[in-house]
Amino acid sequence: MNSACRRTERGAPGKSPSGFTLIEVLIALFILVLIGTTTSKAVIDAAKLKEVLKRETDFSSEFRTATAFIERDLSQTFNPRWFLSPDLIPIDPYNPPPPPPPPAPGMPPPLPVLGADEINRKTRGMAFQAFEYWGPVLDASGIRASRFQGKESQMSFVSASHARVYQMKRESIYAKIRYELRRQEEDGKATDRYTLVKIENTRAFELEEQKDAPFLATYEVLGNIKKLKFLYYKAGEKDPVREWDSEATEPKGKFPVAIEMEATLVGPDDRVFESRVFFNLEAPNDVLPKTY
Amino acid sequence: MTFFRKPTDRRGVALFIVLASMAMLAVFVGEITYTAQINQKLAYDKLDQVKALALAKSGLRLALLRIRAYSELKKTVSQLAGQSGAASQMVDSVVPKDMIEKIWAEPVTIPFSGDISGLPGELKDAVEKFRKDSGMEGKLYLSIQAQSNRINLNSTLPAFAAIAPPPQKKEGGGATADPAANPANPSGPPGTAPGAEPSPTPVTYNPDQARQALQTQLEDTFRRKSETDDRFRDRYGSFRVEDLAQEIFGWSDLSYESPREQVSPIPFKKAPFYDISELLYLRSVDEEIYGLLASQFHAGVASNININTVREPVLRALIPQMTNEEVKKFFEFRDKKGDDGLDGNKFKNADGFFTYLKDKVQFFAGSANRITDLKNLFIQRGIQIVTDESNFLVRVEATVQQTKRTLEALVSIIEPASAPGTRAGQPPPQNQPQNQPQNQSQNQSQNTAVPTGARSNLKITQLRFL
Repeated sequence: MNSACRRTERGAPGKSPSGFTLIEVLIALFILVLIGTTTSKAVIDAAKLKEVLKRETDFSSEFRTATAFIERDLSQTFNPRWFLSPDLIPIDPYNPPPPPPPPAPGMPPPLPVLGADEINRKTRGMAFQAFEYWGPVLDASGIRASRFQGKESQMSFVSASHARVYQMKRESIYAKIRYELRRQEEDGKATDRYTLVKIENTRAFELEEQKDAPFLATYEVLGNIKKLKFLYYKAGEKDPVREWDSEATEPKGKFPVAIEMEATLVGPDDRVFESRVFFNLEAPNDVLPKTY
Repeated sequence: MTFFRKPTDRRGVALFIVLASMAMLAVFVGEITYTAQINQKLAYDKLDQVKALALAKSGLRLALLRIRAYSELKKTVSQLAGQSGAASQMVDSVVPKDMIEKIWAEPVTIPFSGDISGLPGELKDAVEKFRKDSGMEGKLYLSIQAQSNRINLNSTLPAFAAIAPPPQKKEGGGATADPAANPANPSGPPGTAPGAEPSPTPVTYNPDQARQALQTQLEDTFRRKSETDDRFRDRYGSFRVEDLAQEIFGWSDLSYESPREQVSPIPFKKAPFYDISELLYLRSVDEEIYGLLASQFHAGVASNININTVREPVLRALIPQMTNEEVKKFFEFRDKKGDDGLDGNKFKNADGFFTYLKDKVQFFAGSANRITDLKNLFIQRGIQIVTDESNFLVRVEATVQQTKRTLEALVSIIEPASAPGTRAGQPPPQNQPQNQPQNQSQNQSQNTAVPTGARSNLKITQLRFL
């Protein structure tokens, strides 16, 4: 028997070097391969799971941030109509009111009030026009109602949600805000996916819109959208409508009480997610009672 | 076979590999768990945000209830006084103003966290039961601040100015307005000589005067700031307040043609200020000037100044004739508490304030005419001195776990309108009949009577989630 192949106490001083039998080595190798395969598979799976989890976390986080954005703007929709009496009858340029009766004896004379023509002249003929964000002048002080317009793929309104970040920027708490869907592009080519963008104009009281002005800020709110639509709820009605225009939708001058966003999104690994989110217009807009 | 003869020690290699693999696995599992926890926390945070928002809205409702209670109680006290024939001063002395104002003025934390050990047994039990029953997951801090202690930038607009009622005829034909203003001829309008015919046109709101007065107030504000702040004086020594005033008028007044419109980087709105931050659109306003103006002015629907809550800069701006010493004494007098810790010297009505000026301020000392001029100036400027609050800033902070939502709302008490188009926030028509100023309702009929005891309304003109 070869002493080298004999099982002895290995490494003992003064004894001949000993080793494993071939069978032992093979068994050990087999066990090693088995453990290695199992653990490496587990490790690879864990790494994959981690990546998936991260992508899903990012995806859900992005979605939550996007809805928080929209919620913040919509909840603070602003309408200067609140400064006026709920029962005010707007100025009608084609049917001016009769002149006020003369004051009773001992009473002060009525204050001069601008007539429709004069208001129109002072506003360079823009008094009784409706613009994208503003309606016509309602009274002699020049107050206009803000305008809420909504379609399935876009909506625009005036919000008191603007936060001034930089000093010396000529901004107030108000901003004109527009959400719209834009087709996503890859390598300069249009894809079948969309991005929801927010366009914020901090010059809230300018009547006419300017394109590509430096004070316009565009934010990508949510990407990888397969389908998205906004639906608008009237006060006291269960079924939503697909379009809204506070200058045209009856009853005129009203805002929706709630807005539903139905979205189909392409998530991680091209999986499709569907969601429905409701946003309330928290500020006391024209639909809610102006007096509590 | 020398290979096997080399001294080697390979014991424990398999164990090492297993341990290393286990360690790697543990790291991955740990990371995954961590990521999952973060995700879960984000989801819970979102839930907390929703809860906090709902809590903040509940807080707003509670604030509205308190303001409503204040408004109704005040009205009930006045009605009781009227029914019993008691003088309003007597009622005021029985029901301290401070007591009624505590309904809204005291900040509230819910659940109540204060020490209740000193409360009487029944009340203590009730509070404890409320604490237990409320089962709120978060905390609510609610404060209501007076807003009528600042000057309304919109007071230069006829529609937003406080239009004072004209003098009322007594049964005997005399005017009741301010007999103290003209002691020599108490039945005549202010300032008329004994035996003189009443003026056919009483003093009324004057937009030009209002603008001039606002400009003077702005100049006064800048002058005082320069006197106390060297850096401000150095920086704004050559500042043209006139330009600023022109920009303010041009921005907010449709009827005003401002020469500054040509140089404004942003076209003028030509409508009232809806928020004080709109000042930042004006060319003359930078961050520092904005801060200065925001402390003294507000943009609202009512141009009342509550003399019981007014602060020093505004008082100085309103009555520049007061010396520093007189201003100091005024606040010492007004804010002195009585023995019961209540009212002290709070003014019961506007006349009390004018009487104080006549007695304590050198410029007005014993001069009915100067007091009358001051009153007329306020009328012309569209500012009404009041002693009860009607404009409030409600601030609600709702906290759920680590999430906080803050809500701010501007709320006004609106008395029942005298005409359908009456501007919200206008002072109520007093002592009907009166000539409803046409600026309040260009398109409306006039002189609709106010229903006696009608419930006043609360109006929210601004609501922000911060």
